[in-house]
Amino acid sequence: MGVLEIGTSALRAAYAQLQTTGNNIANASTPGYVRQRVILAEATTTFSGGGFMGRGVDVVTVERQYNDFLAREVYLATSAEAADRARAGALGRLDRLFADSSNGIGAAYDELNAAMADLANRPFDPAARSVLAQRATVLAQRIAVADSRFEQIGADVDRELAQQAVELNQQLAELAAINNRLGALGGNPQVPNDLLDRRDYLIEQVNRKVKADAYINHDQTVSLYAGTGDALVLGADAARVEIATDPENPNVARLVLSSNERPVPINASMLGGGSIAGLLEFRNGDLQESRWQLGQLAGAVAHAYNMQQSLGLDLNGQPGADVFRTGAVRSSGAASNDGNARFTAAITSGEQLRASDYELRFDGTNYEVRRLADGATSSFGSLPIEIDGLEITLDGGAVAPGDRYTIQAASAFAGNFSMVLGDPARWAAAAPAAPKVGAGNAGTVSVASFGITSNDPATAAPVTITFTGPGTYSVSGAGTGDPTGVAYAPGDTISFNGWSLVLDGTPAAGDTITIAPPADPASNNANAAQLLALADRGIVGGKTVTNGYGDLVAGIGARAQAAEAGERASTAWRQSATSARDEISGVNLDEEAARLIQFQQAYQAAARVITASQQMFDALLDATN
Amino acid sequence: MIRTSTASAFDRAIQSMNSQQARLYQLQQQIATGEKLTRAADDPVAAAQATSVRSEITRIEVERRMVGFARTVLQQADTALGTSTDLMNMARDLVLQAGNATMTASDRASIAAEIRSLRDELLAVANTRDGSGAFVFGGQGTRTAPFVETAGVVQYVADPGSQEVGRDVRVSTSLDGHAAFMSIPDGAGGQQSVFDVLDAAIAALSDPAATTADIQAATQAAIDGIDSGLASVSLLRSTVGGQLRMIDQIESSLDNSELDAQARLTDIVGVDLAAAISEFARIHNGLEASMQTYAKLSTTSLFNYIR
Repeated sequence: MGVLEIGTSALRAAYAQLQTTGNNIANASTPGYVRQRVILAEATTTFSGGGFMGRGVDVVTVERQYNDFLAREVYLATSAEAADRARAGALGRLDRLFADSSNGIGAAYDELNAAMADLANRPFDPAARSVLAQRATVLAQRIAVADSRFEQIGADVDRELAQQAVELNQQLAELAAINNRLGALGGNPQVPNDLLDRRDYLIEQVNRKVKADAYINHDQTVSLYAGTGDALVLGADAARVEIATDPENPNVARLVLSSNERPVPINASMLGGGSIAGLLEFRNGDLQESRWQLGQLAGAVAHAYNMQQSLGLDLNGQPGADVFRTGAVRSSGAASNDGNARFTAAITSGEQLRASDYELRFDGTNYEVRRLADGATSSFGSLPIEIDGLEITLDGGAVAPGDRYTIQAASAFAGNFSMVLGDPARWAAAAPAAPKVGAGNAGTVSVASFGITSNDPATAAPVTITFTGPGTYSVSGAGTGDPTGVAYAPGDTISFNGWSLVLDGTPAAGDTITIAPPADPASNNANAAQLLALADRGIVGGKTVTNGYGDLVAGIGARAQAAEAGERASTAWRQSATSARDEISGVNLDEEAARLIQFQQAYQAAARVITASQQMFDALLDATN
Repeated sequence: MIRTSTASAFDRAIQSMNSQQARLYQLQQQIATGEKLTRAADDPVAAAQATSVRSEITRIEVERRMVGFARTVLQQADTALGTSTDLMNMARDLVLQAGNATMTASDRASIAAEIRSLRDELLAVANTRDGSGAFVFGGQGTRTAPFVETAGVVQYVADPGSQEVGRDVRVSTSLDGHAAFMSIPDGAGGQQSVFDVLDAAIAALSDPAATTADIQAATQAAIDGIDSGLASVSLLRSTVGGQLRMIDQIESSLDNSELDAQARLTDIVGVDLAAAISEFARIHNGLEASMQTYAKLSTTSLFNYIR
C-alpha cells in the first residue's frame, strides 16, 4: 500500500505543478498577474521498526512570487510618473497652442506697429487709418482668443479630472469589496491568489490617479491612505473623491474627499503624485500663472494705448477715445462670509500691473490684500485700495468683519479683450498743441523736443514764452500763472499745462516761442509718433510688449520642457522599479518551458511508481493463485 | 540570479523602438522645415530670442518704410528748391537788366511782366504736393496749400517747422516753407517773403512815373532781397541734402541690422543640417538594429525545442 500511496502523492504533486506552470504560461501577459509556485513538503514519516519510512510528498500551498518592498517602490514610481506625465501632456498642449509664431500675438503686434508708422507718415490718410483699425482689431482678437484657449484647456482639464475621479471611485470601491471578501476568510492562511493579484493591481491603478500608501494587514486586507494622510480605503469602506471648483476662487479646482463624515477639501500640493495631482498642479499653477501673464500684457497694452490716445486729438479734433477694452475685474466671496460685497478694479498704471489675482480679507478694521502669485501681503485702512497699478473699489454690497474675497484681476483682463475705437477717424494722431518759434526771432533758438505728458484742461490754451535775455524768460497764457523772470539754462525743460518743451540754440532778448493748437490738426502726427514709440517702451512690467509676450511663450515652453524632463526621469524610475518587481513576479516563458519538462518527467515517474506498485500487487496475486 | 519577465522584455523592446521612432520623426521634421524649434519647449530661451528677433526684423522693415517715404518727400523738396533757385536767379537777372539806364518805361513794364510770371511759378513750386496729397513745404502739416495769396499778398498759413518720423534718427516728411520763402530781413528789423520782394520790384518797374533814382533804389532792394532769398533756399536745400545722405546711411545701417538679425534668427531657430542628418542616420541604424535583435529574440524560445 505504501508504494501506491507514495506514487499517488507524487502524481498529485506533479499534477499541481503542471497546473501551476500552465497557469503561469496562460497568464504570462496578464496585467497584475504574479507568478505562482507550488510549495511541496515531505509527508510525515512512519516508524517501521527498521527506521522511519518516507510516505511521499504533500502539496502545502500555491505561493505567489512577490516582494512587498519592490511592489511599494512600483506604486511610488507609478504615482510620480503619472503626475509628471499628466502635467507634461497638458503643458505640451498649451505649448503647441502658442508655438505658431506667424499667427500669434507677437506677429499681430508687429503688424499694428507697421500700420502705426503709416499713420505717422500721413496722419490724415483714410487708408492708413482703416488699416490701423483692422490691425488693432486683429491684435485684440488674438489676445481674446488666447485667453479663451486658456479657458478651453482649463475646461478640458476639469472634464479629464472628473473622469479620473469617476474611475478612481470605482477602483476604491472595488478594493473595499476585495477587502470585504478577504476579511470574510477570517485570517485563513490559504487565500485565493487571484484576489491578491487583483488587490495589488488595483493599488497600482489607484496610484496612477493619486499617490496612495498601502498597508497590507495580517488578513491580507489593505488600508489605503492619500498623501495627505486621509483614508481612501479602510476595511470594507471606500472614500469617494470629487473634483469641485473652489467656492472662493472659481479659477481654482480642488479635490474633495468624502467618507462617512463631511467632505474634506484636499490640499492639492500635498497629494504628492498621481495624474490627478499632476492635472491639478497644471490647472491651478501652470495654466493660472500663464493666463495671469497674458492678462498682465493685455491690461498693460490697453492702458498704455488708451492713455496715449487720450493725450491726442482725432481727425475730428476730439480728444482720443479708448482703443482697447479689457475684461472687467470681478470678485467672489467665501461661503463663510457674512457680508455680500462685490469688488471691481480699474487700471491706474499699466506698467505696474502684476501677473496675479488677489485675495482680500477684512478683519473689521483693516483690509489685508494678498497677491496670489507670490503671497505678498499689504494692509490698507480704507477703500479704495491702490495696489500694483490697480485701484480696487467696492462695486456693491457691504463688507463684514472676517470676510474673504478673491479679486480676479490679471485673470480677467485678456477675457473678451476688444478693440472699441470704431471709426478709424478716431485715431488720435495729432497733438492738441504744437510749438512755433517766433517769426522775427533774433536768436538761434529752435525746438529740440515737444511732448504732451498729461491730460490738462489747458493743454491747448495759447501760451507765449518770451525770452527777456539768454538766461530768463516770462510766460503768458491761460493755466500758466503768467510767471516772469524764470531762469533758463540751455537744455532746461519748460513745462506748463501738461506739455513739456526742450529747446536747442541760444535765445536772444525778445525771442518768442508760442504753444498753440496746430493750424491743421488733421495733418499733425505728433501723437501718432508717440503711439508708435510705445512699441519701444517698457509698458509691460518694464518690458516691451514684444519681450513681454516672448516671456509668456518662453515661460510656457520652459514649464513644458521641465515637465517633460521630469516625466523622463520618473518614467525611467518606474521602468526600473517595474523591472525589479517583475524579475521576481513576472513570468519567463523559457523557465516555464523547462519546468514543464521537469514536471512532466516527474508525473511520468510518479505514474511509473503506481504501475510498479500494481505490477507488484499482480505478482503477489499470481504467487498466491 | 536575474530573471527576466518575458512580458516586460517585450514591453521594453517596444518602448525603446517607440522612443527611437519618435526622435526620428522629430529629426525628419526639423530637416524638412529647416527649423530646429518646432515648439517653445524644444528650447524656451531660444524661443524667446526668436520672438524678439522676428519682431526686430519687422521693426526694421517699418523703419525702412518710414525713411523711404521721407526720401521721396525730400527728393521732391530738393527738386523744388532747385527750381526755386533757378526762378529766383532768372528774376535777379531781369531786375539787373531793368536797372540799366538805357531801359525805357515800356521795356521795364515788359520785364516786370516777365518777373510776374516767374513769381507765380515760384508760388506754384512752393506749394508742391507730395504723392500722398500733403505739401512738401507744409511745415508741421497741412492738407491745404501752405502758401496762400490774399489781396495780392502771399502768406504762409501752415505752422512753421517740420514734421518728422523715425525711431532713433528723425527725418523730415514735411519741410519748413516759412524758413525757405518767408523769412527775409526787410531792412527795418522785420521779415518779408521772397514774394514780397518780387512784388515790390514788379510794382516799381511797372510804374511809368518812376525816376531813375526810384528805379535804382528798387532794383538794389530787389537784388538784396533775392540774394537773401537765395541764401534761405540754399540753406534749406543743404539741410535736405544732409537728410538725404543721412537716409542713405540709415538705410544701409538698416540693411546691416536686418542681415545681422536674419543671421541671428538662423542661429537660433535654424537646424544644423549636418548634425541633424548624422543623428538621423545614427538613430536609424540603432532602430534597425533594435528591430533585428527583437526579431531574433522573439523567435528564441525553449518551446520551439519541445517536441
